[in-house]
Amino acid sequence: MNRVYLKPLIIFLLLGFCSLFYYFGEFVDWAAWNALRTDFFYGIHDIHRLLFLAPIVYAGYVARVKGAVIVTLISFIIFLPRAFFISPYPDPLLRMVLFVLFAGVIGILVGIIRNQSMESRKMEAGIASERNRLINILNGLADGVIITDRDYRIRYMNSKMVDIFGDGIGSTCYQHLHRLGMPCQQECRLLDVITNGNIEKWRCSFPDNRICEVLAAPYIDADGTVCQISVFRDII
Amino acid sequence: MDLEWIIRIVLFGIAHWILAGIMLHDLASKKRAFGGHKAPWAIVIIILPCFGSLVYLAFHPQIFYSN
Repeated sequence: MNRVYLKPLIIFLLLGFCSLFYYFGEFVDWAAWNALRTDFFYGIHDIHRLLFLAPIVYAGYVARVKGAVIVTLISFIIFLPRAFFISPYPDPLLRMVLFVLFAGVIGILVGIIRNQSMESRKMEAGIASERNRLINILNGLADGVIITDRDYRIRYMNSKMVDIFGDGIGSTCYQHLHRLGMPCQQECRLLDVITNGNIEKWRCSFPDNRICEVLAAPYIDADGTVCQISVFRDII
Repeated sequence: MDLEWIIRIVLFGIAHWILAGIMLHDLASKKRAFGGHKAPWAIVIIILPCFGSLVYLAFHPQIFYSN
């Protein structure tokens, strides 16, 4: 069967089953199935109506707000004959209308929540693809790029930096790049960049006699931490 | 006319016109309706209270996917 018709078919089947259950007492009377005559099917039908929450909530889940409204209105039409002509109990119309309002609100809320969750899923996928695009751009640069946090820990290295220094994500920049036990006293501008938000430029020498021009700027990472993003350009 | 009957007719009318509105909106946004013509469907939806909308729904279940 075409999948397009599967979910509507399930909704119609649920509605059909609920309708049969709702009017089962009348069916028993009409068909004279005396063995099935039970008090439950001849009492107040507030409990029986609750079953209609299943198709309404399901419609809200698969067909969102419009589906929930349509199925709620169909349920309302199904309830009308009992409320108008059959029920001998007091206020059948009022009880039915209250239930329809209650069920409709629940169905619509399910539809809204489902809409929002789908939208947030789409946004997350969009952010992930945007992030991948940026990482690809950074990896394609001829210059080295690293991101370090306030504790000098490396959070990101582009492929150029990894090629030269090896993967050092998680270790400190002074340890990984300079093989030092403490932050570089004279060259490092990390705290100045992160604390004051300045953009700094300086020359930096490495143990392998490589000298780079470093351009550093503040950068707010995905978790909201202020970090430093530095671009290393080879001079010698 | 008895007040209770007026309430019944009003409630039935509300259900009919909300359903008809949804179905007519769907019909208007479709390029092609079941059977090839839209006008008969519009007449069925409007003339047959509730039942017309249910028949339209049975022949156009894609309405549940139009979100």
